[in-house]
Amino acid sequence: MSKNTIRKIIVQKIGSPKIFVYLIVWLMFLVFFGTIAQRDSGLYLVQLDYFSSWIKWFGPLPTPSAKLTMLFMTINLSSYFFRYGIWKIKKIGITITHSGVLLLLLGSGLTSIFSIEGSMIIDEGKRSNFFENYYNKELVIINKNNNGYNEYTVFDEYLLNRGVLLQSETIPFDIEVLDYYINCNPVQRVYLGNENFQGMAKNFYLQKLKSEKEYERNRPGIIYEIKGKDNTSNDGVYILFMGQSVPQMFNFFEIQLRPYRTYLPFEIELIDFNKEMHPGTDIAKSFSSKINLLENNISRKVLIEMNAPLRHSNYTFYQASFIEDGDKQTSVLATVKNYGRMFPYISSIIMCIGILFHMLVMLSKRFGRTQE
Amino acid sequence: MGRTYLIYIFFLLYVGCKKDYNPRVYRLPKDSLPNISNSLGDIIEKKENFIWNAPKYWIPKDKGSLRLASYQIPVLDDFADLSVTKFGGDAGGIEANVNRWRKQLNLSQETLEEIQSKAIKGMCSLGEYTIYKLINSKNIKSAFLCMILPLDNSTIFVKLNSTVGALKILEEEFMVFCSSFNKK
Repeated sequence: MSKNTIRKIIVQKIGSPKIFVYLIVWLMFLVFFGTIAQRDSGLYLVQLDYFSSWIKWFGPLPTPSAKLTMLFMTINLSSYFFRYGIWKIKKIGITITHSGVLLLLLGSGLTSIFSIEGSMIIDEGKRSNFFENYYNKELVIINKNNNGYNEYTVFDEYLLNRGVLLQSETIPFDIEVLDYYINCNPVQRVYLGNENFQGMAKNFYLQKLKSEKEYERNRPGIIYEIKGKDNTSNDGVYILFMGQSVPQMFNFFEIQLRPYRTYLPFEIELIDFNKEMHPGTDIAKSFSSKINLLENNISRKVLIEMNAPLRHSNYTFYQASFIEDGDKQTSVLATVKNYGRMFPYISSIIMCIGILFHMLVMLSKRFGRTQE
Repeated sequence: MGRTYLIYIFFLLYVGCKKDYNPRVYRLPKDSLPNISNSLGDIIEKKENFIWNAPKYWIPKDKGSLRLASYQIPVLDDFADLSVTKFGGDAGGIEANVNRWRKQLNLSQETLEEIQSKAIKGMCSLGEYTIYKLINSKNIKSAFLCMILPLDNSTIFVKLNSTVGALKILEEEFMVFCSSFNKK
């Protein structure tokens, strides 16, 4: 196949404007039905199903999800650059506009792959150097048998599937996942569990529940079996659910199921939390957090308000909410790290320039014809 | 040549999309920062004309006809039971109620002075309350932490029933819970 034939296929078949129109219509369809589905399934599950997955199943029918549609769109638009004469003066406006749209799609791709978000919860007078994801969880084994430090072995939620054997050189036992529930309830057994059940599993079992509409309200739980490599005294089946008040200990090893944690290269200390109420009501009008940003032994005072977030080291901290417990006040900062943050701004400017340039070229062409 | 590129692209896609089954391992200084994740998502209950905050992991259960709320609290390898009730007037007073609970634990009756000398006092937005820790050392399977909060025309009672070991673990959380009662 000659180079020209390949170019022709790319431009005429893959880069056909018809495909782009169909893709846009399909995207509109997904957005419309995704928005309706949110009412029953909640925002997070719909995002996963319609937008973040590769395939969206409508019953037995596999269809491209928003992610795949946008990938097709990127390929379709990129094909434009294989056309001849795109740098001529009459085409340059369209070329610039195409570049802007491609940049926008690239930015959304970067955001979907690399962006992380969660919430940082700090009590007044306390410090924190991590934030917790709203949705994803992790199974953590903490080795406390060290002077001065704890060693954390962390298994991400996507590994917690039935039958998976979790192993690491840093822990003296293997963990076989017998089941993992995104939402569950501990229920007392009518009859005692068999002799292989240990700890809370002797008297309780985890009842699988349907996911809550608000995904973050779920209480995930895991049923797992400990298989000791040298010491087998702790071997058996255990249950663990998020928020369990007493940690599960195996000698010096503590096991926790907790929200996915991202550690920051700096710390934030909440000096004071302020809230202003609407006069005569208990409804908050505005609230703000006065914080100390601690980095490399240097402290910096910053005020985070509802419309004035803190931006530092590619992280953005928004004043999201607060918790009041008697005299104790706790600030909740929504934390986001988004590598594609600037892409929408830059690409919008590029698209505007492209369209403006194209309009000027067209106008001058029409003006020239009229004069002739 | 084209095929080589295709194989290369598929290899990259395979490697890029393959799940990493290795855990992340890191070290952190001991107790450098407080663990505060449990404060996330407290449940705020609104009953009558007052509200309270209960930790998210407390499991609400059927409250029955007399109770305003009931929770099962997972602790150690069992559940503790916590109930919130409200009765008109002083519901018999402190002496009668505490002695009733003492009787349930096979403890001897005490005078009001003796009871009050051991009480823990606290303050919430609804007023001053008193907490009574009732333990019978001969029976470690059942112990009570009780709160009495007198209001204008009624009295709120909070009772935590658990084993002695679980009671010690939940004591601090119970104090925080009692201080969370607030006007609606």
